[in-house]
Amino acid sequence: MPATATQVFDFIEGHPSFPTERLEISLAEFGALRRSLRMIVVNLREGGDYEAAEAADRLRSLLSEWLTVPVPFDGSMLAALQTFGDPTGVEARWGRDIRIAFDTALRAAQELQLVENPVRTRLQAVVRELRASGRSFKIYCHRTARPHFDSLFVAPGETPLPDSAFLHSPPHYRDAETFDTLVKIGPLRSWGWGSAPDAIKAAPRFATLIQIVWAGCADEPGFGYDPVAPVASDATPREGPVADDSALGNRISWTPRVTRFGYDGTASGGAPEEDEFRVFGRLNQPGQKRRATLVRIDGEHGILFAPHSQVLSFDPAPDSRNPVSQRLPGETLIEGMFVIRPLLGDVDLGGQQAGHGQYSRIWKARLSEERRNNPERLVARLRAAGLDLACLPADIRNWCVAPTTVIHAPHKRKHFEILIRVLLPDSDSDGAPGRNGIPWWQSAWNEIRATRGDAIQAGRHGQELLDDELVVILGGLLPLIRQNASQADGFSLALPPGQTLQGAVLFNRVSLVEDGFLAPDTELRVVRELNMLQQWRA
Amino acid sequence: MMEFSERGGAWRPVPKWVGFLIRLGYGWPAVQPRPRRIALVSMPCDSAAAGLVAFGALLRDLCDPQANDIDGHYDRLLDYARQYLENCRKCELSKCDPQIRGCGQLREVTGKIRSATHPHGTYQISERTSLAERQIAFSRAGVLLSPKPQYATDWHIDGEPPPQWNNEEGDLSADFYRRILPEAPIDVKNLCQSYSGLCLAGRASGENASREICTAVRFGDGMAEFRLDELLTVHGWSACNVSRISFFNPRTGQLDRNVATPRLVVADGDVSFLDVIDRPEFRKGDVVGLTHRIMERDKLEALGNKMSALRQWYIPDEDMLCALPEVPRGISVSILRRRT
Repeated sequence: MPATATQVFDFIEGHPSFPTERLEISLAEFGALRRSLRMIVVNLREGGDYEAAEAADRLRSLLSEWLTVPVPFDGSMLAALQTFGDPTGVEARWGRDIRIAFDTALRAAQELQLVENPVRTRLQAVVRELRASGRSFKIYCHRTARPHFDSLFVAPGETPLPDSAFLHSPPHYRDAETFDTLVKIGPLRSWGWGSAPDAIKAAPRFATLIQIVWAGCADEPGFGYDPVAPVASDATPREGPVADDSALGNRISWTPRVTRFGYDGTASGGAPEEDEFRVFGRLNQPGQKRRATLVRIDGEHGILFAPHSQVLSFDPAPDSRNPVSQRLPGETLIEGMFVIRPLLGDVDLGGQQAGHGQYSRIWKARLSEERRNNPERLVARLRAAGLDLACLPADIRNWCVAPTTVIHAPHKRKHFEILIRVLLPDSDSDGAPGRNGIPWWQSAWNEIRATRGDAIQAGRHGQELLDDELVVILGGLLPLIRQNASQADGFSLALPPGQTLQGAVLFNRVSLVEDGFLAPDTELRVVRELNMLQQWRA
Repeated sequence: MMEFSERGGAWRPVPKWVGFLIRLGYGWPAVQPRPRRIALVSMPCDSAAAGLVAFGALLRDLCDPQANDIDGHYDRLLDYARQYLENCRKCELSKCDPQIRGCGQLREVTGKIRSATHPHGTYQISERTSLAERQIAFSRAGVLLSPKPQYATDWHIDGEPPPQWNNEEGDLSADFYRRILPEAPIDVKNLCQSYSGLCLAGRASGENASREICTAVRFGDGMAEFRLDELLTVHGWSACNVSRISFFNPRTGQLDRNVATPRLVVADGDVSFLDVIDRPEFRKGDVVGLTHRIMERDKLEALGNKMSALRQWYIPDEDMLCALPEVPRGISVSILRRRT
């Protein structure tokens, strides 16, 4: 049961100032890993091509996660770095400087396996202390980070952390009762990895904030944003008009206290640790990207929508007034509803009707066969033809997966064309040609685009008109839609003949709606794998 | 002594935050002409804040002898008849959409009229209506009626509250309103007259969500108790026939009645505030937005950016800020006034 407004006001009134305990951690080996990865990311982002930028984004994601989640220092860090290839390959592709930094990172990741992550030990100590003193507490973290917190309390004699000890989103926080202590790993940021709602500082539901952070990771300036008036940053509550005298502030104030753990808190050579989030923020300028909300549609896939996007969707609740309607992600489109994606015959897909998997069945069968027979030779042939992706063996394994929500395939058209020309060199003359003179690979690519939603994105205006028409048609199919929705989280429905629109419609149940992404327009309204979408966390 | 209860909790004296919001609405300037004002109030939690400010403004209007829909009611009926006869009756769209149609109207009208004294059954605006001579005619079962302007308050547009309620039951209780704010000099005539100059713009998720949050708030004094949703008198939210506030549903984009610009719109939530502030039908009235702060940064920034953008044409209303009662900790208030 959420706290009532009166309880919240009484709570705030009872705390003239809220203390923040900031526990800063340093560790030489982790510092070395941070510096080398930071150097690689900056250089690849500033001077590299598309592939270099992609690699930089993946490294940025990894480092951001390690800085904001209590990950164990085990072989997984090293393994994650090794997916970028061997040092020789790295040098061949990106040069000597990157190779040296990469070697240092590998070495540091190896050395880290010999020590326990001090963030984990500190967190464990904090939770034990809170429990011993009988104080109620909650941990704010991303949903996917939770296993790392749970893993600290699985040993015999430890009490596991209950669900109620976690907060994962602003609505979750909004529904919380007041409590004693909030625990947060990493800096307070409003976007990206380790992000948290500004309300943590602008509308506290807890008496004390305990932050465990790696040295150098500063809170985002302006965190605790109040659209009406800025939050007080020191212990002195502000009375009356603040800032530009146009507002009366909320008079919530904070008293910070910093405790440092680990070595002397400086990097080797005496320079203080740099703040990766500030550095990455500069690289990831929001100018070319837009705020986006992630709608997860199954365990592996999601779609990013721009704020205030109208999304065609189905609400399975029996009392829903307009079951099929346009909804706002996070506002009216919520978990449990279905995102509707049309695969319509009159959408321009180069003349082909996007039957789900018509082409992919053919090329995926061939790819799987080639991979089974001689994977090394397949990789070599593809590389020779120009498909020179950094993690090609892993990519091929992914492309072999049977079509589910989307058709797993290369992300770039150029790469897909190479793949098909290598796999099916005679595809346009072996009895399965593309229609209307369109090359076979192009038809297969259109099929992939349709399932991803690219075709929809390319013609948004037309799509909005189609959506209106579709709402009417789907309104007549409600019993069938309800029946399917009660049995599966994802299904497709063919539109009945005689309607103004022809084709099929895909329904996917929304498993999570999450804000905090910053993505280019080309990534919006397109189905992507979740691990790819992580790079767009701002 | 008046007491307060939230979500079925124990009765307690009216909390400071509730009193502040009611007084914010009550003290909102009503005198015309005046520069337009826009205010944004941010709260540390989700609450019935918009309902409470609207309730305060409703109390203010109950004290104003001019705050009723009687004056100009006949003109409204004429406008309604004109829209029906000249636009809606002939419209070829299957679903009303004034933007597509380009008719300049806000919403569809059905041409139905209801009697306030015999509310069973409706009459239809007749073609015999003479707009040039300002004479309305409506009919039912072959009977044609054409009321004189002085009796027009006996008739009202179907689906809307009657401008005046003359029966013994169905008007508002003066005693209870007085007990909540004893200093308010309520004009008893207003208790049986509807008013549309005040508007509550509901939540983005629709009317039910707006009403639900108000239902959770109760006032009582041992003898009687009322829920906030009943006290607000939104048409259809209570058994009361008089409605002293119009309701705008941002989900459907529709007002619950055909009215001229409301003088004050109280918007519930960030989406509602951003929506009404630029709507042509609300551009002349004041807007007070109430939002909580537990939301994603981009939504908070959308509000902050809107307030910053308004500074081109508005200045901080320091006089009004200084005149406010003490603001409880946790609430932020910004008030802007149009440059004159």
